[in-house]
Amino acid sequence: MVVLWGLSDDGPINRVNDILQRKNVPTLFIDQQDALEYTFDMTFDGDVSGVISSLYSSVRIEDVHAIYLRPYDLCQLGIFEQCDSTDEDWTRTAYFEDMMFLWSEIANARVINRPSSAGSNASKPYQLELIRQCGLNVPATILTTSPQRVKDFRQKYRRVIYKSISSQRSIVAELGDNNDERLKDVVWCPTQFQEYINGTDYRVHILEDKVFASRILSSSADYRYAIDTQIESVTLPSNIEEKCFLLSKNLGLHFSGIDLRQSQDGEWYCFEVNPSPGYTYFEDPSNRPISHALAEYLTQS
Amino acid sequence: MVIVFASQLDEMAQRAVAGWPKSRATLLTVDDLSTEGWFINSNDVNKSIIVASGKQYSVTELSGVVTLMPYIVEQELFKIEEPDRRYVTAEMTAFLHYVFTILQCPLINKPSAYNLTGPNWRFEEWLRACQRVSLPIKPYHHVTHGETNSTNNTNFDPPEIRTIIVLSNRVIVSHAETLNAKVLQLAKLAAVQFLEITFAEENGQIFFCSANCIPNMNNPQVLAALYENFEN
Repeated sequence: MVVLWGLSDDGPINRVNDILQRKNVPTLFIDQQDALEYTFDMTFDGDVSGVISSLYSSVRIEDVHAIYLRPYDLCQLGIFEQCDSTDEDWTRTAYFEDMMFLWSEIANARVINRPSSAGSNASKPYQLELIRQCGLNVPATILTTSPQRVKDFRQKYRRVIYKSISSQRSIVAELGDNNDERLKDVVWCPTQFQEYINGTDYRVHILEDKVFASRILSSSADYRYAIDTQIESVTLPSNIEEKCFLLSKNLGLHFSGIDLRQSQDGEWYCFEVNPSPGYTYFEDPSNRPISHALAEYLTQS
Repeated sequence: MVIVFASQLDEMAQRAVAGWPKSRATLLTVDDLSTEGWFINSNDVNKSIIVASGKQYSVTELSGVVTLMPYIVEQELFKIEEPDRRYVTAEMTAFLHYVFTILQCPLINKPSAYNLTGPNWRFEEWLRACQRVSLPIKPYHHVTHGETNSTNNTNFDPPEIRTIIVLSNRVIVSHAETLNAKVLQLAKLAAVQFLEITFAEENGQIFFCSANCIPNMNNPQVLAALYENFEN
């Protein structure tokens, strides 16, 4: 039995679900928005056991051999946008979510990925340090509440970008010439600035011993938001591939999305590791090798 | 200098810092994170500057950190406008996680993702860790649409609570001495310097009840041990 947990309109989890259905793999897809329909009854006595049930299904968690979770922030879901923490439906849903996270952490099953393994992404500079320890280059980085430090940094590296350091999503932006007034705001919260690495982006998906690498051609500092982005499948140099495997393993991730950039002088830099990659953006819809590999991984015992 | 990271409203932390031997401790509050002066250079972390109680310190001046808040909450962000608070709490927590990780001095405790005071373990994860070091546990039962209880909870007499507190691989308080060695193993497994474990005794049987990674600065034994720990 495979359990999928996420949103029914989420591309990555849907593609895996489609393949599992076609292969007749027993699968329970728990739509995050339908959490109120489910009851989770769990006992921990050294081993974890229990039942996830709804009107339509009942699954013994001891029979689940794989879990793929891609939950979204509950507060961001449309149905809960207007709720507060005193709302009964919200409370029950939050409790169910908490139990799903707990079970994902302690389940005797293949889990993509355990919540604790995904944790490094909650502090990007911390993760950057782990990336560096795997032998990958990282851009020069400062974190500061001093506008003058930022100006000095920009003077040294000429082109500088800034972005969020938590798991809150933000658009990567380049610090421009006319940012002096905005720079004063760094006093309110430590902010990360990085040297801009001019080059070509790569997204590398590691699934245990498999690698799927894509080259991304875009005119924007953040290709996710550009209209001219093109993606093509590539083979990485073997030493870079090895470091990506090591990085994913060291972070405890069975499946990861690693952001690399090759600079114009040929150096490889790593920016970030996504522990729950939205891989469909990089996958050719007609080929779908990552979805198939994921489905295969989840069905192996 | 020992840094004590605490809520601005934590009077116990303020008293503990005020009474620190040789005045060698200072408070770090969320207010300090909205103060000019912080500077971390990831290529050369020893040149980094932190701000505590409004004053700047080189990270090389720090002899220890005691963390009393697991994460930053919006209610602490007096200086930040309301719509920005959710974002800023996440950013500041992420920042401190990194800063506490790169420091070379002793930390009580080492942060983990989502928790600046130690491992972000739920009760069941503590149970699992207890089981690994052979500490006695009682089965625990959760139901999302109903009551959550320990199983077989038919004893209505309040259980007797026994506490063991360890700091830096040393037992500083123990009301269950036969379990001291196993609690030290548990602290090692959890990778924490400070750990307070309570056990409940029911019908002559003792079992794990709770785990706490945040030193109670109102406990004279804990405070004395902390003072001594950093003195050494």
